[in-house]
Amino acid sequence: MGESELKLLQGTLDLLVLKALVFGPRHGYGVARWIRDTSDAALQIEEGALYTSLHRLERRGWVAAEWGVSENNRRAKYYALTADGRKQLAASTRTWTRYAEAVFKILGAAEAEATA
Amino acid sequence: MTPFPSLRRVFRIAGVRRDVKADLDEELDFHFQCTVEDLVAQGMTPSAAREEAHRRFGDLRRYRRELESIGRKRVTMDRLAEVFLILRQNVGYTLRGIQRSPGFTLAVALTLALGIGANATMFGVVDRLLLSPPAHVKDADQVRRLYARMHSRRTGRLYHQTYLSYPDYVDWTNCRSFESVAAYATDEVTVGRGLDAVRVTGGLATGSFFRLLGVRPALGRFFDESDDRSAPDVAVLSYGFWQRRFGGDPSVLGRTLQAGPGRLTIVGVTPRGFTGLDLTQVDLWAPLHAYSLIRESDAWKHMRTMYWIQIVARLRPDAGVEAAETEATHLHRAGRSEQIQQEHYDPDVTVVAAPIVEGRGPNAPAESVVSVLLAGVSLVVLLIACANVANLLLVRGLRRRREIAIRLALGISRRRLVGQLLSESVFLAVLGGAAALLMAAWGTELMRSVFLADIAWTESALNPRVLAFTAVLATVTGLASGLVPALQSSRPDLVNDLKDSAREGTVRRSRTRAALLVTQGTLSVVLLVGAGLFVRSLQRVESVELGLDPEGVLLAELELEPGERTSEQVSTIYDRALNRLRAVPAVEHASASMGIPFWSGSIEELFVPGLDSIPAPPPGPWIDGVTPGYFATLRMSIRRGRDFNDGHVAGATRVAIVNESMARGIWGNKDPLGECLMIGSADAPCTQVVGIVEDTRRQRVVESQKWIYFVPVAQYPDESPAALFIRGRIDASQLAPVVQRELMAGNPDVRYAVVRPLQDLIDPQLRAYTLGATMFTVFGLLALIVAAVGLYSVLAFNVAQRRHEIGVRSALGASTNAIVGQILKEAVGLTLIGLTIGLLIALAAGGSVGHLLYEVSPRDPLVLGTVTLTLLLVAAAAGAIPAARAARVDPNDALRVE
Repeated sequence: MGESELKLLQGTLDLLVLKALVFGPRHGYGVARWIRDTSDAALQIEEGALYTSLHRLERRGWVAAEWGVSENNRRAKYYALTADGRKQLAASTRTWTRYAEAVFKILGAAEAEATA
Repeated sequence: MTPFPSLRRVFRIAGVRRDVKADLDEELDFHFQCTVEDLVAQGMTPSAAREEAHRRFGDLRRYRRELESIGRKRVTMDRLAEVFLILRQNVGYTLRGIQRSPGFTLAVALTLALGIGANATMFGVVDRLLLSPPAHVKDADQVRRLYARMHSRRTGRLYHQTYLSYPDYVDWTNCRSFESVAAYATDEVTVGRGLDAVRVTGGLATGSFFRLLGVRPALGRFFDESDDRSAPDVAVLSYGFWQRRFGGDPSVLGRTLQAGPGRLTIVGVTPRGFTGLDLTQVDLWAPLHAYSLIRESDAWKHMRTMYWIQIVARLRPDAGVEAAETEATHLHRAGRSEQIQQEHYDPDVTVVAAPIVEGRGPNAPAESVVSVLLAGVSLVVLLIACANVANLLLVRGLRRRREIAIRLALGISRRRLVGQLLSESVFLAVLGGAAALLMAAWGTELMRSVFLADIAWTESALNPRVLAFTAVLATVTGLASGLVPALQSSRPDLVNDLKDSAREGTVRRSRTRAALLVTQGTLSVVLLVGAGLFVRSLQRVESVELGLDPEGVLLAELELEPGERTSEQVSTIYDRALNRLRAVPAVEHASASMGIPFWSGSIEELFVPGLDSIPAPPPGPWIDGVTPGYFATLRMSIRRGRDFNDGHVAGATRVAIVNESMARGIWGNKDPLGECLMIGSADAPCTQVVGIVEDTRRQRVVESQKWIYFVPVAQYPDESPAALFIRGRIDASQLAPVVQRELMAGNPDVRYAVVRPLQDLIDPQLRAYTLGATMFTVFGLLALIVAAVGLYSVLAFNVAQRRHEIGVRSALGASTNAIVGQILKEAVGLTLIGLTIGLLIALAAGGSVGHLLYEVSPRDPLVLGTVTLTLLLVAAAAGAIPAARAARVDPNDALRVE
């Protein structure tokens, strides 16, 4: 039980990280900040987990890392989506959306029955 | 994998290989700094901001650990990918190089194939003779062979007695350092009867034998102590004999077998490949007590003067070898105390517990010694091959130096370049190794069938050990021969090499190449001297005057049906056999004797009137009882007097014929005819000397001349013939079956007749010399050819490189002779240096092979002279073609290149 929850979480996290990079390369802090800002800090994600996700994605070849210079003129490690990563993002998004829709449908049906 | 692999490679090669940890530190530092800065900007105090940053990040230590492990895995994968990429490139590079110069590839691969093949062949032999423990023996290190180390009472020479007596074995069964002790002996035995019978090798072993070795039977059971008692009746077959004779039928257990004088029940079969503790095949095993049946007596159990068994022991796990030897020595001296008191045995005798492999023990057979020597020689051949390949690669590197300079200028790293060049030579070595396996398969077959035919080869020529050895050798060879050339090629003089013409004049003469050529010459000389010495030894041994002529003579031994017979009855059987043989038209002579030259003989106490003692060279003098016609059969000429005749029977005047050495030694210039010999005791009746026969060798081809005298076997009390000699008018191999049939058919007393050429007893004594001479010559010639090719290729290259210089010189008026002379001088000069060093080494090392030679000094001038001349001739020949080419250089052409 606990494990499947973790896997789901991890997969979801990877999806979010890939999404964060779709608008262009970002460093780790940038990714964390984007997710935080976009979700209005609703998701309680430890930033350490974001980094493990980034590094894992890099190892899989979905994300490429390169050292660059940040907006405040410091050396920072930038991550960018690779072609494979882009494909993966599209596929995961489809899967996740279908999954979420299915869950919504069920939840919606239960509500309709209850009101009927 | 990545869109721009080449760019990535350049990036990597520039030397950026970041540490995983440092990378991570920098990334996380950046993260925390940014977070804190942002929070402070939002109005937090720096310390609260730091705390909040850590809270948001989560368990830093856990995440760090996780991130590091991911990073390490990534680096490993990247490196693997990189290695793979480089490998693929190197292979591609190598294959392109081979396509470009197939001749070069062939020359190198062939040279290496010869070198590696020679080594693979010798490894297979040495492995069987010396390295591998006997098959199926458990913990073979703990099993030791026991030798008695003592001084000869006669000559004072130190020697190791391999064969000991049964009471010695019994003494050692009480040795506490030994877990168990076993004894065994092997001899030929006849299995079956009549025309159906076969001769096989039989092994007699104590009941402890198989358990001590830890062997498991392939079928049935082995015999043990309860079977090894008087009148044993069980036998164990070898796997091979079981297959040959019984077609591997499992129902063979329980069947009986007539083996020699015993009727034995088959109780088990040894596992495949088991040959006991020696290298030769044993077909049939029986308990040691079966010896009583053969000897028709139990005397062997008590006689300490019968040296016939080999004794082995398994050490207790906690017992050291030295402690065991000390204890065994103590027991041995105690057991032999009576003999020691009577001064018949060395009181300082010690027991040596040597490794079970005979070749590693103190009495290593000559084949083992020669094989080790030859393995060393084959290694030298490989060294020469390596030097040659290194030279070829160097020369090729020079030819390609523009290409290499360009590649270096374009930014390839030296490490990568060396890697590429090395992978090329390793590939060539692998190619050579593959060809070497073919050579080894063929060479091993030859060695096995021609030189080492007695040895039971249980494994195929290309067994896993040989394959592994060859693979390792090929790789090492490739690296060894490629490293120096690769390093040199990768360090070119960039400026000069990139200059347009890369002209001949810029070539520096390479010391490395000269050194390699000298090394080749040196090693070839050493090998050729070795070959020469062995060939001369073999010639000497083969030209030894045996005194008798074994060619065309068959030796026949009769195995009689068991039963009590007087010596007269046995003599009658032999007389009848001789009569039948003499009636065969193809038989020229037939005779019988008690002893067999090069095999067995007897010595009796001898007294001569007027002499205190007989000054015969030990052992001796030998005595033999023969029938009339014996000397004619063996073509021993009677110098004076006459042969025996049918009148010399028991009761008639006792007569003897002595050999020349004995006649000279006892009577000097006096005429020995009519002199008296007292045989057996001082008061024996006089035996009159009636003839002098030419000297012959007695036991060994290589031995000092022995004293031998002959008496008519009919006059030898209580003795009968033991062997028949037949000289045919036709080829011995054709006559043998005729003789065997003649002896076995129509003679109900004869159970079996063993017929073989007399030469078979002599050949094994020559084998070590034949092996040494043949293999040394083969290796020596290989070395010479390889060295000659090396010299030629380097000289030819030099001439090609110096065309310009030669052209200028001839334009300036240098004569053709001067130009040719210079090339030849170079060839001969290098050779002379190699020759000198080689001869010095040969002279220095000569002493160490002295004991393997026969009547040839390690400094034999003929051998040294021949080798010198051969080498100079070969050098001149190798230089001739390049020199001729140099002479043909047209100054106009050479200068126009500019």
